[in-house]
This record gives sequence, structure tokens and C-alpha cells, in this order.
Amino acid sequence: MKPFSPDEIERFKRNGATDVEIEEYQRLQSERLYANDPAAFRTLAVRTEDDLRRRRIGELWRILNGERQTREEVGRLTSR
Amino acid sequence: MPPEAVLQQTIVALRTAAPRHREPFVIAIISNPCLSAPGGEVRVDPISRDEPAFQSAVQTIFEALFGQPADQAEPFLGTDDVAEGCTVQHIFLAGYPAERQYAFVQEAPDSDLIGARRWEVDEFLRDTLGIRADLVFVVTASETHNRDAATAATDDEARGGVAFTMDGVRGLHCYYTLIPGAVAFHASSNGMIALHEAGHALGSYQNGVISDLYVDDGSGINAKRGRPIPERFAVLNGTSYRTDPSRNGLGYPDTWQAYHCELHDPEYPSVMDNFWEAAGGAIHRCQHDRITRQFLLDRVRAKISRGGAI
Repeated sequence: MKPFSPDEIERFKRNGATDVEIEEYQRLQSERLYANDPAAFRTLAVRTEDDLRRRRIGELWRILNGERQTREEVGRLTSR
Repeated sequence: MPPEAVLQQTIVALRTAAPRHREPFVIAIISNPCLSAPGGEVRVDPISRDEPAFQSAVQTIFEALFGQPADQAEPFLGTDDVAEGCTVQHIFLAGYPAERQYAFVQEAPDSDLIGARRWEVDEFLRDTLGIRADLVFVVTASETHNRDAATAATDDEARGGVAFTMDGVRGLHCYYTLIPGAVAFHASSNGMIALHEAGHALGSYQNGVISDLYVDDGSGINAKRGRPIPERFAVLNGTSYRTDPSRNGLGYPDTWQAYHCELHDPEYPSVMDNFWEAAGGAIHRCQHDRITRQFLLDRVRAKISRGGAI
């Protein structure tokens, strides 16, 4: 996966993301690509692990783009 | 497919392996007919209406893989014995209807990531065009997603290969794949990105992936985890490789556990690391670290050798 360029990192920081969040996003995306053979996704354990990772990627992507949600908003979304 | 659709398939051999190689290593660079959006909708990929942009991407990929740009330090497949065992074909497709079977690239949700639909593109190459590729680049001009990404190969271990050992663990550089490694490459991307993604795509899910070194992962052939960082990174086929103690000047963040293999040129980051951070912006000076280059070329050489030589 192509790493974020310095310009992109600057933009995410202007949007309020922290270094830790930017790095976590890249790490989770990279893990999704290389931790498991996509052919193994038929197994429940891999699917569950991937679902959790994907949900967190979604949260982080919104943060990187300046759409940080409050704890209450996240709670409402996940309880639906 | 509607009968009135006018399909264009232009297949060109950009490089042909030396005749003595019965089964060369085959690289296919193909334009993406349709895009699968995050919601599942399918639309025609703009690249299928822009052959000059496709040809430009083909040149970028080809030159980078074979170390041709004058300022590129990484020779990669341009190494003589490897280059002569490689065949490169590029395929431009146009006029395909917006149907899922022709969507070889998907746009990932919650990101600007593009991914190759590796089963679909491999099936099309094999069954429609008769091309058995070992490495696939799918070129897209998505208007919304431009973060290139690759998947490794799923090896066909039943058909044999060349054995190797890394740190005492046996692996196999397989002659064939069940699904080849595939890169989703944006038409606007540069040669260093092509090299980086090819590094991933030439790895194997069963016999060793090549990881991104700019995240604290520490898995795969090219990264490990632990502190303190040991002097020796690994032993591959009896050869000992040292670690990169300082991550080539980028430095390992204090919170990291990952560490990497020594570099060919410690002045510049590895191709698989954050090459954007190369000193002076000289990204083309970046090379693969020592174990990554050896491992990947060993894999390619195994495939080149599979049919024997005349």
C-alpha cells in the first residue's frame, strides 16, 4: 500500500488527527492486505478479526477527514 | 454482454524472454474495464477511454521494474539473468459494459484505497486471453480513489518449487500460483510506487509476504518484532543478514517493536518503507533492503527455471 505522503499527513493533521491515529490507520489497512490470504476469509475467525479491523478503519478515516465523532455519537451508531 | 458492444483488446508484447526459457516469468499490465465502487455499484473505468494515459502508466511500470530510469538505484528485474527470463505483455481493453465480471479493481470503503480483484482479473487473463501471468498490474483512472495497493500471490504448492530456509524454517519458491499477486495501479502513480507494490505482489501468503515497513507491523520476510534490536536480522539459505539498527535515518519511533533488515544504501529508506521521506526528496535512490531483494529475485528465478532451459 502506498504510504501517505507528507502533504497528506499535513492535511490529516489540519483536520485534527494525531500522529498515533494516522499511524494506526495505515497499520490496520496494511494488516488487512497482508495479514491473511484473502482465500482464508471463509473462516469465521478471520472474518471476525477483519470486521473489527474494518470498523476501526472506518472510525479513523472519519477522524483523518475532520469528522471526529463524540463518544455519544459513536455509541448511537454502534447500538443501531 | 449486449451484441452491439464493440470490444477492443489490444495485446502487445513489450518484452519477450530469451527463447531458451521454455516457461518465462510473465508480467501482464492490463487496463481496468470497470470499477466496483464501495457500495458495490459498477461503472466504466475512465482509463478504458484514455489509451494514452494507459500507455504512459505501462511505460512507468515497465521502466521501474527493470531499473531503467537513469536516476533509479534499484535494479530489481533488470538484473541480467532475471531480465532475460521475463516476458511483459500489456493489454488495453475498451468498450466493455459496466458489469461486475469486468471490474478488476474495487474502491475500498472508508479510504482512498484501490484493490485488484485478483480472482476476476486472473480468470479473464487465462480464460479469455490465454495469458498465464505470474504478476499482474491493473491500471485504473478512478476519479475518487488513488491509493495503490497490492495483494500477494496464493502459491500452488502441489506443483513444486525451489526450497529455501529462513531461520531454520523451510519454505518453497513455488513454480506456479493458484492466484498471482496483483497490483491496483493508478494511472497518476510513479515508478517508485510500481516498485513498492510489485514487492508486495511478488510475495506469497503461504511462503512469505513482503510487508510495509512504514508501520509497526513486524511480520513477513522483511520485518521482525522485538527489543532490543539484535545485530542479526535473519539467516536465509545459509547467508546471514544484519539488521538495520537505525531505520536508515528515519529512526524507529520509541513505541515501535518492529525492526528491519540492513540496507544496500543506508542513506535512503527502503523501497518498502516510507520512500517519500528520502533525503532531498530523492525517492528514486531508494532500494530494497538486502533480504527483500534476495528473496524476491529468488522467487522470480524459481519461476523462470520451472520449464527448464533449452
